[in-house]
Amino acid sequence: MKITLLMYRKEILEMIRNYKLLWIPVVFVLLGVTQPLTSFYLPDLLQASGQLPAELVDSFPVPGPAEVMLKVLSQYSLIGILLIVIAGMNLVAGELSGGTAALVLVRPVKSTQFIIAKWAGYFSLVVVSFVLSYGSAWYYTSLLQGTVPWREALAAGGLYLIWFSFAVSLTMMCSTVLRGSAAAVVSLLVIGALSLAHGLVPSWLAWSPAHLLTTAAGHLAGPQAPANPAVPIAITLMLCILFIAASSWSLRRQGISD
Amino acid sequence: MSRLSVTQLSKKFGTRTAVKEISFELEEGGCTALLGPNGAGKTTTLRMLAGLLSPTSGSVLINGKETSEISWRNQIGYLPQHPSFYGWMTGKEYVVYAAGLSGMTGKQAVAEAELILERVGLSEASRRRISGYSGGMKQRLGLAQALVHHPRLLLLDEPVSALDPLGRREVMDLLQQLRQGTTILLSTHVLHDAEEVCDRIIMLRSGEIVEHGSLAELSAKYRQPLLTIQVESDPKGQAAAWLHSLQDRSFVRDFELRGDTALLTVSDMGIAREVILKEAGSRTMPLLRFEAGATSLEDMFMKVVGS
Repeated sequence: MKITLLMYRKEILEMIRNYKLLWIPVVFVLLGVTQPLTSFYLPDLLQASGQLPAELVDSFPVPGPAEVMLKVLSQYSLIGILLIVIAGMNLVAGELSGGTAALVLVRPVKSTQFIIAKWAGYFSLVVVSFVLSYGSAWYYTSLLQGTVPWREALAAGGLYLIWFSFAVSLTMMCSTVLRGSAAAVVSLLVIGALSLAHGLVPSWLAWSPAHLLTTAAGHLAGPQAPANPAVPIAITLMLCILFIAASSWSLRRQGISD
Repeated sequence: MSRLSVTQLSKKFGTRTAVKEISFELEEGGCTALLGPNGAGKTTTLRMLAGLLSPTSGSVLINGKETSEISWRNQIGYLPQHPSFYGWMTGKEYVVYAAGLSGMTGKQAVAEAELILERVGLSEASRRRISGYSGGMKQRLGLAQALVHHPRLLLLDEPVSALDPLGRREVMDLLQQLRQGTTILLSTHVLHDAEEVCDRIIMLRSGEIVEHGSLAELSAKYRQPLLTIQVESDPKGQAAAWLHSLQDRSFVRDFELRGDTALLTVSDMGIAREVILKEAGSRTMPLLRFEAGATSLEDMFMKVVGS
């Protein structure tokens, strides 16, 4: 435990010193905040450009708060995931190919401790980024478009966080087994395929992690609460544990280069 | 009881067998040199001993215990040939981190780190970031992280290759001091260093042990009388011709000509000396150097490995 904490602290220090802990939250916040802002100022922007006639601009539908927050969520599931996977593709692969893992694993450090510290470090970054971003988005939406009831917003946000933990675990497992760029490609393909399959046949894949996204959207959109997402949550958490265990097993089996 | 015993250790990478069932034992204390040409399997062997690579077959036992247990890793200090560090850390931060991973508490880790950095000559530079370190400094840092937890077994892969003569001298002195309580296994190409600090040698070639033993045993076995004769280069080429003629004498076992110097491995130094000096005198050969010595470790290396 002590050793895992030590390695976790090193992960955080590294993200501070290479400014990852700065720019990823910043990009996430921008991602979140642009939606309410552009929705609010869109009519004015169009008017200033002078292209469209005034009547058309006036009849432009003003999006409600729930609509704006839904757009924010869709940004997360697109660009947010892309960012998380690409920024995390070298999580373990970087240390393995760079040779720094060797001098760590030669000490009395279990591969499981190493993997958990890596996962915790990166997930901390994701949590910080997401919380800041989602909070800012909710704040600006409540300023400009109206308040989304906080219980629903929290539920939707929580579900997205679980989805992100799935993405982080998957990326880390790919990063342990494959080289960096291959890890990014495989992770994105899997996530993409999962989302696509769920979009096509939602009834078949109601248990899958992708269902978390539609449930989250449901919280914000509909007047009544959507079906209990206990099954997808449980499945997603189990998959996360599976990926972490697989990473640890793979690391132990590999020859560590220096 | 031996500190380290390796039995039938082998490693296959696909179809290529890098290490072919080698066995050896290292007693506690003392220094053993792992010699061999490039590709002999020295680094692979060291990495298997350090636990970074799992062997295809065979076992490594430390004091009778299987090395697959994680608890013995604290007894081992490993220095790879090209150590990699986190460039964003300072030298001291890294050594403190390494000490912490080996189980030392905060204050103890810092104290031990400072001590070892002083010993390897990095106390000044330890406050700077590793990304700014030269190759020699990185190697010293590597040595520091291998020693900070006071291991009983040191595995060093080419520990002095990147150092300048001054650094080399310092590290060799450090190794001499460590020999008392620590068992050292180091791989090197610099045979002179192996001779200086090690008392046992294991020679690898193509994954197999071709020779091993203490320096004394190997000297007795391989050391042969060597005559070095150097003549002035004369325009008529008489001296050079005379050198050539020495090749066919009965007492000459091996002959090598390098420019104006002939190296003769002889069977009997007494006879050789008498005959050659007489000839040189009677024919008034312009002798520059006549040295009666012995073949070096390097010659043995070339012979054993080249055969």
